[in-house]
Parts: sequence; structure tokens; C-alpha cells
Amino acid sequence: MTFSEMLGERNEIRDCYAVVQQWVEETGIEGLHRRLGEAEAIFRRIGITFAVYGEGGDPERLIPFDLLPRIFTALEWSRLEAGIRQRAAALNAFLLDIYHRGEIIRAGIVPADIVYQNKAYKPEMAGFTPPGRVYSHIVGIDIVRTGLSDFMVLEDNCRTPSGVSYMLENREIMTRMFPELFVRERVAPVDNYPSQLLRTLQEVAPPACDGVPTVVVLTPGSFNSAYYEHSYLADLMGVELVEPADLVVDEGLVYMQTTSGPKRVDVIYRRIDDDFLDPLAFRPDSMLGVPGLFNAYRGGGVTLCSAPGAGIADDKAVYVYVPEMIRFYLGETAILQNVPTYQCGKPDDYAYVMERLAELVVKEVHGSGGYGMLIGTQASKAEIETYAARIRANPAEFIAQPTLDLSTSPTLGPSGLVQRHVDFRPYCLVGKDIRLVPGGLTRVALTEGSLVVNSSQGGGVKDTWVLR
Amino acid sequence: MRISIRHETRYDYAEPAGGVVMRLRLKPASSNAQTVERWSVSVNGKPVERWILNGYGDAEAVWRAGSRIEAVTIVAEGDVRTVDAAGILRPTDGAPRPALFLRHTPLAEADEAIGAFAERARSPNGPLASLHLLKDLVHDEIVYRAGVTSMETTAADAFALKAGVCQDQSQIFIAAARSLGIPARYVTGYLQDPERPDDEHQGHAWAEAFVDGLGWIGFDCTLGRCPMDGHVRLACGLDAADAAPIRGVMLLGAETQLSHDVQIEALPLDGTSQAQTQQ
Repeated sequence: MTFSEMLGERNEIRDCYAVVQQWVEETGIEGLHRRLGEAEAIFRRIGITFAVYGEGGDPERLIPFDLLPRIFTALEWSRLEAGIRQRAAALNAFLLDIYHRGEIIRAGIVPADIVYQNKAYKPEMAGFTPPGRVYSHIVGIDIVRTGLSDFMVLEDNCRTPSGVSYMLENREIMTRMFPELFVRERVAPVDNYPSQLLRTLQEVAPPACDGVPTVVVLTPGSFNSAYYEHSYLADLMGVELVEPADLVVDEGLVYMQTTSGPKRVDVIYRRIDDDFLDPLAFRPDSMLGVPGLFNAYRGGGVTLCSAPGAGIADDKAVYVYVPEMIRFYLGETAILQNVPTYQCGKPDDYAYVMERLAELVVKEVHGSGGYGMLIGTQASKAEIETYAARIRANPAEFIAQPTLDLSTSPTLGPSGLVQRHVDFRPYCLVGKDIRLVPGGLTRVALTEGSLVVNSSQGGGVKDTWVLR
Repeated sequence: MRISIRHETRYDYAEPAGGVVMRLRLKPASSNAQTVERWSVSVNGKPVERWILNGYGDAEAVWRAGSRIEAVTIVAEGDVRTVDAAGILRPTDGAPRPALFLRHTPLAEADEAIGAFAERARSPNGPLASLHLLKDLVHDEIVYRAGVTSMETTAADAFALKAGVCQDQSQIFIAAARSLGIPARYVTGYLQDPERPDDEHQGHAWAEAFVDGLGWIGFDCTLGRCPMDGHVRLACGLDAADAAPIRGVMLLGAETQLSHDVQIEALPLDGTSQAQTQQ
């Protein structure tokens, strides 16, 4: 039985959705559609048209916005928040460990090969301790809900999770267009995210920095699908947006070219993949990148956020072990559960999965964004056969999970409210402290019955309210 | 043994090159097998002073040309005192976990032929015996021959040729050791060997493999034995490209001519007289 976020056990409207329900009744469906048109016009004008990380698709396409907010009660949020912070702390502890002594591997909890043989594990990072012992400064955790109090983590994003500009823009649009809603309901603000992000980045300044740290956002350039977000965040933080060609490494320090000459850079919020950061450290054929940047980082002249090699923590093969990481490093029980996951590399799991392909969701271990995924319940016999052949050829490259009955949230349909499946990505900031703004990005699968919320596959976004 | 080394690398650009940046791994570290008495690295006459330890525990520096240049001359030189440590390198703290060196790389990947070759070396007496057998097999069956392979030749291609230089022999050994489940890595350095011809003004390379309880053990397949006191260890990596002593990029490209010269000689064991004359 699908959990509807708006309805209680006896199909009554939950208190937290009362204001929205009232607003819908007052405005009427036609009125809502008119206002949605206005909202889309604003989005187009400011140019927020990009795909969420790694999802591909047309970067010029506007991601559909749904007017009806997704709402968490204060109580729900307090539990989510504790779980998110706990997970962000454990993932960073894991990264610190595996780039040093690897105690969790020695203890036999995480197998050595899924770490050391993993392309996301960067040997260049071994033995180095980044400022503040932080590797992943912005942890995006994808959470799904299957019941009133059942939240599960679908995946972690420890590199450079994107989409936070939607969180900010969605709220901006809602408060601008419907100020009366925010008078009626006490919604926790999210607009301090940029200042919290800046503070987090400044907290991890390198040893060579002895003043107020200079932070920049490093983008691959305007051709990148998330370029809008890069420039938007730089703008809101009041820092420079730079491309690799703007940076130069000299005597172990990094400088950006400015009209008034070179200026020292202390912290780089980089939105470039590891492989393209520095051709002298990573991919030698990369024309992108800043030669010598990694050497300056290891030498304590600059801080890279996230640390190269942080992606090993969000690998799907590693994901399975996160609850055990929480126990191992924090001595706590995971507050947010993982989705039960079968590793096809294990003979028992493999047998289980191959017998139940029609019921399961199968993913590539290193894939992202809903591509290369098999949703057994929606696939044809032929599709399942083709996919099964791929698994047989390379079992360790696949994991499988039960098809989750994601919760639905009321969404504006052509002739009334409809129920559509949603997920949720909060953005947890890790510097000297762990910070979390009360909110995140709610993605909604706009196609009826669809469980895929990715923007490349017909997903949209909603404002997310945390009530106070 | 006391060994004096002078290693000069020169890049000549057909036209002035812009944005030249180089990563240098040209500074040997002291260990249980070697003590660095004196060492300096300079680029175009200017000493390189900012060194960091990289992920493999080796010294690494970055040099950047301030403007367009026509030539880059890199000189690494110094004296190293060595002892015969039976090829065993004692582990240093902070070094990455050995299991990392089971990772396959394009240059040192075992194909079916290398896999079968490795199986011939598998010994019932454990990994150390297997490694010695493997070293002998490579030494005997992969003929040392210059000019048949290049820097880009993979272990599999060199194995098919059954010939190559120390880079190829080492990479074949590494690929085979990994296929036996033994961590192995590529080592660059210098060799002072009375049996080696004098006109071979080259750096040297060999392999190290990890054996539980012992640590990293050197295997020189070119010589067919473990390194003794003639080897000076510089740096390591997953394969030759990863361990390269010099890696460079340039923004505004020009045709580049590369030349090397390595001079190695044994010094008298008592170094005090020389040190005094330098005062």
C-alpha cells in the first residue's frame, strides 16, 4: 500500500498538509495552473535550466516545477536530520580511515578489493590528511519514504552533489508568488544555505592560509550542464567563479588571474571530476585541469572540496556497508536504514537475484542517474533477458534492490491533484561542524505510476517545507 | 657501497613552449637499504626546494616555467650509501595498503598468456618461492633487447615479443605477480653494476612485490636477482607511466626532443676525505 504524504491512517488530510489543502481549495485547479505558468515564466527568465548531476539530457530544458510543496513535520525532520548528520560523519570517517590505516578493512568489515581495486579510490590521496579531516564537504543523501515513519537511504553523493540551487530557487519562487502561505504556516528558512556553505569552505582553509580564506567555485565551463548552479552559488556566496585556465600553481600556492593581477586562492569548491582536476596527477590527456594543483593540495597550499577520491564513499558497492561504518566509527546504530541490497558478486545473492529479476531493481555498481538500470516490474521479458546476460557476464558489477513503493505527494495534474512518487535529497555541510539547512530537493516522478524521479526521465522538482 | 649519480634530462622545444609544468619524482629517500648523503635537483640551474611526499611515500615536486622557454634541463645528482638488504624494503608509515597494488593498469595487465605464464611460477612453498620462480622465468624467457619496445608497450605486447628492456621485464613480472594475487609495483632508480656496459647511460627499473611478514621485496628481472647494494631506489607506482620520474604538460605545444644522460659511479667507501676538501 503506497504511503501518501498528505494522508493519515484513515485517509484524513494530515495536519501538516492542512494549509496546502486549504490553499488548493481557495485557488482552484485552474487558478493553480495559471500561477504555475507564471512560475515557469520566472524560471525561464532567470535561466534555471539544468540537469541534476550526471543525469545527462538536454541542459537547456526546463525541469518541471510543481507548485505543491512537499512537507515534513518538525518531528519527522528531527529524526531525518539526526540520521543525515550521522551518515555524513560516518562517510567522512570512512574516507579518513581508508586513506590511512584502513582499520575497517583490517577488521574484516569492508572487503579490501571493493576499496583498493575501485577506480574511485585514488592512491594519490593515501597518507594525506585534508584540513579538518574532511573529505566530503557537501554530502547529498538521497532518501526515499515508504511509510509514515519509514525512511530509507537510496544512495549517497559524496563528490559534488548538485541540485541545491533548485532548493533555493523553488523556495524563492514560492515565497515571492505566495507570501500568504508563509504567513499561515511556519516554514523553516533555507536561504542561509549559501552563507553556511561559505562558512564550511572557509573552515577547511589550508595550513598555508593565514588570513580570511579566499574561496572560489571551480567550474569546467559554460558547456557544463550544471554551469548555472556553479555561477549561482558563487554569486550567492560572493566569491569568484573560475575555470581551470584562470588558475595557476606557483611554488606550492594557487593563484587566480584577476584584472588587478594574481590573487591567492585558499579553498576551491570544485565542480570538476577528479580525473580532470590536474593532468599531472590524474588523467594526463585531460586538457582541462590545473597542472600542479594536486601537488599544491597535498603540500597544504590549497584545499580542494570535495577531496579527490571522496567518491569511493558513495560507490554502490560500498553503500551496503554504511550502517556498519556507523557502528564501527561512531558506535551508534544507523538512524536511517539502507534499502536491502543484493550484491550480485556474492554467489547466494546472485542466485537470488537471477531468479527474481522481474521483481527487483538492478543497478550498475558504478552507474548513476537511472541509466543502465533494470526495473523488473516494468520491463518486458526480452529486456530482462538482455539484462540477465549482462549480469552473467560480470556479476560483481551489479547490485539489486527490491522495488520500493515510494511515497507519493500531491501534485498538480491537468484536471486536479494527482499522487506522484517522490524522493528527497538534503545537502549536509561538513567543515569544523556539521551543518544542515532544514530542507533539500524533492524530486517527483511526473509520469503516473513511475518510480524514476531523475530529471532525465521525466522527473520534476518541488519546494520542500520543514515545519517549525 | 657508495654510489655517485648524475642524471640529466633535457627537453628541447622546436619553438618556445608556453605553460610548461613538470612533476618531478627525482629525489631518493633514505631507507634501511640506502642512505642519501647528498642530493640536489635543479631545473635550468635553479634548485628545486619544495618537495612533498606523495601517496606512495615518494618525494614529489612541481616545477613551472614562468614564461615561454626553448629548453628545460633537469639535473638530479648526489651520493647515496647503500647496503645489501637482500632486496627487502622495510615498510614506512603512511604507505598505502599493499592490496592497492593488486590493481590492474593498462600497461601492466595480465592477458591470458601472462596468466598462464604466472601459473608456471606458482609454488607450493608460498608466495616468496613463487616470486623467485617468476623472476627467474622472466629473466630467462624475456630477452633483454633494446629498441623493440617503447614507453607505451604493454606487458602483454612485450610478453608476446618475448623481448624488451627493464621496463617491459618489470611490467611482465608485475602483471604476473598480480594475477597470482600478490601485490606488486614498479620501481624506478639507478643501478651501479660492474657487469653492465659503460655506455648504458640510462635509468633503471625493477619490481617490488609484497609478502606478508616480510614487506616489499625487490625483484630485478633484468639481472635475474634481487636488488643488492648496487641499486638506488627513486620512486614507485602501479606501472611505468604511474612511476615516471618526470611527467610534464605544456599549453602551447611545440615539437619536443628529449635526451637523457645518467652517469653512475662507485665512490670510495670512506667519504670523509672528500667532504673535507669541499670545505
